[in-house]
Amino acid sequence: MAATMSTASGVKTSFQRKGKAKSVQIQGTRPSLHNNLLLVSTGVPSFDFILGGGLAVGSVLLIEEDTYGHYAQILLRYFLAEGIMSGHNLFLASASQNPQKILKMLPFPVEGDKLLAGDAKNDPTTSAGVEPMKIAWRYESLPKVEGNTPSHKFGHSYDLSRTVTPELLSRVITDTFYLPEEMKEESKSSPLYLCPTHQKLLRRIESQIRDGGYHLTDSVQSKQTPERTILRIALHSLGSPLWWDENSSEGIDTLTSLCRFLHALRGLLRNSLAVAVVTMPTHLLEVFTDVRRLERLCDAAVQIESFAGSEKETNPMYEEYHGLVHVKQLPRLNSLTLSTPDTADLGFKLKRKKFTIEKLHLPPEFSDSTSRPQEDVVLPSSSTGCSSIFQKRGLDF
Amino acid sequence: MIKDFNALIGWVTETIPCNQFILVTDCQTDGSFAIHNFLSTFVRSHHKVIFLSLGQSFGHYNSVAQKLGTNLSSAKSSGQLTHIDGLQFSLQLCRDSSEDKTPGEKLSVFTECLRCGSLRPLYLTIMDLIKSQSTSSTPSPVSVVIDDLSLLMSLGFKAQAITEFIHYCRTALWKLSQNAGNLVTLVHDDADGLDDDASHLVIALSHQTDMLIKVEGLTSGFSKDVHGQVTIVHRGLHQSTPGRRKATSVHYKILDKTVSFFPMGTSSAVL
Repeated sequence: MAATMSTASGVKTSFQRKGKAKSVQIQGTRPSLHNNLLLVSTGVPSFDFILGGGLAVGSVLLIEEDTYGHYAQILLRYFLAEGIMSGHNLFLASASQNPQKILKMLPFPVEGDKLLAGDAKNDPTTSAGVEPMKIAWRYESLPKVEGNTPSHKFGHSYDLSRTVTPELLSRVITDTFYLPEEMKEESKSSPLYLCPTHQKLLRRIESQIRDGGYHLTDSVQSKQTPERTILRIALHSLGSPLWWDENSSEGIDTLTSLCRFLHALRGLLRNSLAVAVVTMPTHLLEVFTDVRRLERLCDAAVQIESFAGSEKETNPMYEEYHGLVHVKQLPRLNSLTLSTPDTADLGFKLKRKKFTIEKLHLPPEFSDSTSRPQEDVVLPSSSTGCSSIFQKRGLDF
Repeated sequence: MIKDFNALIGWVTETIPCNQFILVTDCQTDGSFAIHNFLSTFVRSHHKVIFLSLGQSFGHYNSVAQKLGTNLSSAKSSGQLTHIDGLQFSLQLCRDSSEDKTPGEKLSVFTECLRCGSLRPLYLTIMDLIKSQSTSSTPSPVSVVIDDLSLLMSLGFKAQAITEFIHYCRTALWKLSQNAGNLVTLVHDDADGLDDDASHLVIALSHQTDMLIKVEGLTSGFSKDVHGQVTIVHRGLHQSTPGRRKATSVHYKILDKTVSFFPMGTSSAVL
C-alpha cells in the first residue's frame, strides 16, 4: 500500500476534481463553479467575487500594497479572521509588526457572540429559554436552522469596529513568525541560494505543513488528523527592505531570492491543503518588469491603490471611495479560461464596520441641472473660419 | 480547438511536421493555451513527449488536456510522456542549501545548475531522456515541450545561459535524424525595452525559431469578447525555397473547452 501511494504521489495535487473533493469534506470550503477546485473565502465577499468565487486551495494570492500598506493589511486581517470562523489554522509572518499584535487586531465576526455562547451552553436554541410567540405563532413550530453550524458556512461578516476576543482566537491553532525574533541566533554560513530570511521562513512553512498533516501525499497513511482542515498562510509585507538581511547574503539578488521563494512556496502549496496570501510593497520596486515577474509567480495578483496623499483624494469622481483595486492577474487553474469580471474598474471603501470593493461609478447628481457648467460653455469668440456661424451661441444638441 | 489551432499554423495533414523549433511568446496576457494545444497534439500523434513544466503542477496540465480530449496521465503511465517537475526546483534548492545537508549527499539537478551558473546539468537530464526514448523498439518522433522559460530567468539564470540551453536541446533532438520531433517553448515578452536581459532572450530565441507564435493582449484594453490577438510567423528556415516571411494575425477568444479563432474585427459581438 505504501509503495503504491508513493508512486502516485507525483500525480496527486491539491487540484482535484469535485468528485474526489466531496469525499474529503472540509469546513469553510466549497467547490468552484469554474474548475472544480476547492475554494476558501477571503473574508470579504466582494473580494471573493472578483477572484472568481474565492481563493483556490493550493494557490497564492499576491496583494500589492497601497503606499502606506494600511488597506492591504485590512484585507490580510479579514483573511485571517475568516480562518478563525471556518476553523482553519493560521500562520502569520511579519517583519515590521509583531504578528501577535496583528492577530489581536483581527475584526470581530458578527456571529461571534453567538459562537462563543454556543460554546458555553452547547445548545443556545433550546425551547426552554424561548418565549412563546404571540403574533406570528405559526412560525414557532418551524425547525430552527440558522445558528446550528455557523462555522460550516462559506464566508462570514465582520465588524471592523471591534476586535476579536482571545477566546475566539484560541479556537484555532495559530503560529507566528516575527522576523527580528527569529533571526536572533546566527546560522552558520553555507552555500546559500536564498536570502537567509526567506530560507528560514520557507523552512518554517514547510515544517508547519508537514507536521500539521496538511500535506496531501503523505496524509492518507498518517491518521493522526481525523478531520482535515486548511492552513491559512499570511505573509505580511514580504519583500520590504526589512526582510532583507544584507550582511549574510552577499551575491544574492533580492529579486531573485524573492522569486525563488515564491516559486518554492507555490511548489509546496500545490501539494498541500494550504492557501497563502502575500502582501508586498511592490511600489518600492523601481522596474515595472520586476513586478510583473513576481505577479507571474503568484496565481492571482491584485493591486490596492489608496487615494491617501494623492491628488485623486480630492477628485469629485472618487469622492465615495478610498482607493482603487486593480486586478493584475486572475488564477488560471485547471482550465483554459479564467473567471472574467464584468468590469476592470473597481474601487474600495472602508466604512466604519466594513470594507467593501465595488464597481466604480460616478456619484449621483443631486443638484439641479442648472448648476452644470456645460450649460454656460460658449465657444471663444476669437474662433475663425468654419466655426464662425456658431459664434456667441451656447453649445446645444 | 486542436484542429482549429493546427489549421491556423498550417498543420493540416494527418502527420504533423517534425524538426521544428516553435516559440510561443505572450505579452500582457497568457499564451499557455498554445502549450496545452501542442501537448495534446503531440500525444495524439503518438510522439514521445518530454515535458518540463516549471510554472504549474502536472495536475493542472492534465485537467486542461482532459477538457481538450486527451489523457495525459495515461500517456505518462504508459511511458509515452515523461514529465520533469520543475515546480519543485526551488524547493529542492532550499533543501539543498540547508545546514543539515551532509556534503556527500547528491544535489538536485537545479542546484547543480545554479552552482555552475549554466543549465548544462538540466540539459544532460533531458538529453538522457531523449536518448532513452529514441532507442525504444518502435521508432516514433521525440518532442520536447518546455513551459515558461522566463521562469528560469526569474530564478536567476542569464539570458545567455537559457539561449545556450535551448540551442543544445535543439541540437540534441536533431541528431536523431530519423525520428526528431519538435521543440516547443513559451517565453513571456513583458519587457517593454527596459529590461535588457529579458528582451534579449526573446530576440535571441525568435532568431532561432522556425515558427513564432505571438500572443498579445488587445492594445485597446480589456474586452469580454476578444481576449487577444495571435500572430503566426513562419520563418521557413528549413524549406528548400527560402520564401518570404508570412505573418498571419487573428483574434481569439478562450472558451471553456476550446479557443475560437476568427479574423480580426469579426468577433460575434461586433457582427
